Amino acid sequence: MSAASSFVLFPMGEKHYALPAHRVTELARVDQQQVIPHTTPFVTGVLVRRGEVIPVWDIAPSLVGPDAPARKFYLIARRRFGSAEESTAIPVTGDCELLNRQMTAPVAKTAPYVEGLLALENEVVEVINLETLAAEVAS
Amino acid sequence: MRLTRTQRGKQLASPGGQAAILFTVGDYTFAVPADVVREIQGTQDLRLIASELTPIRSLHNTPAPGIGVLGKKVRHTLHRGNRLHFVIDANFFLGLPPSNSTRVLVFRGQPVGLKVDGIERMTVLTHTVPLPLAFRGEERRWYANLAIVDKRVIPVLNTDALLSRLEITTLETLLARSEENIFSAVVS
Repeated sequence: MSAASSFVLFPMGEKHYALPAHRVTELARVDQQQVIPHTTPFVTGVLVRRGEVIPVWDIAPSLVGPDAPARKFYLIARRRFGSAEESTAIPVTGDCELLNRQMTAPVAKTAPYVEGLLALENEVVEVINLETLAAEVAS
Repeated sequence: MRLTRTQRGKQLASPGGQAAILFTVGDYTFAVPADVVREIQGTQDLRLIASELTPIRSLHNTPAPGIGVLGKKVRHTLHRGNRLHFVIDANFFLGLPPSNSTRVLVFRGQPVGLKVDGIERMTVLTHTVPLPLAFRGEERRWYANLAIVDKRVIPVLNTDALLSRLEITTLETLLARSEENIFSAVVS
């Protein structure tokens, strides 16, 4: 399976996950997250960056459960909503890395939000499809 | 506190933005366009809506029909001259824990008030953005948009969502029935 060959690898606790690099716009330090009252699950607040209000979507509970360690950075990624697109800040637990790999098709037992797999030396990394993950969280 | 004519209307629509009142509920600050607020009152004149509906209960020995959830949302009324306003508890509306309400925002053009903790200040909103699409819950109804004020993100309240036309009619009907019952009790 040939797909995007550049990926951003990010840690989430003990494991690593990846997003296609073209979806990631920047890596940001943990800024002052602001909270507004709302009822959307796993959206923990908003950041203001360059005049833009960016929602913070904590995907750690969905990926690794409630015991994920403290998040240190935000991965700012583009998320699609139908034909629209907007930035989303995804808190991650450590440094991120850009790598080029061939993505292979997910195996049958992987979660539906896994778009593909990247084989690293010591780990097989799941490439996350943000839209499928969001739909799963919403349901 | 009644907003004067110089404070409302076109004078409030600064060319650089929209005049707004910043108010607090619990730990949060919100904004409401100044031109939709008729006046700001203390809470001393609020009447419990339950006490105004009591005659219905006493005659029929049942809770007032249709007041169930509405009774939690609208706990008070405010009578200003011949105007009646249904006062919504902002904490309940926004799903926040109870806090110390001291002010009522009385809205223009609809018989609705909003009980809030306090008024922070008036300001001009020069930078507003739509609510990000990632927000999918009740907040899409609560907020008209988000304002950035001194690097703070402040939700701008959508006052049209406070009470629907049906809810207002329901409350008005219940209160009218209540008054009829009082009248019947007095003449009989």
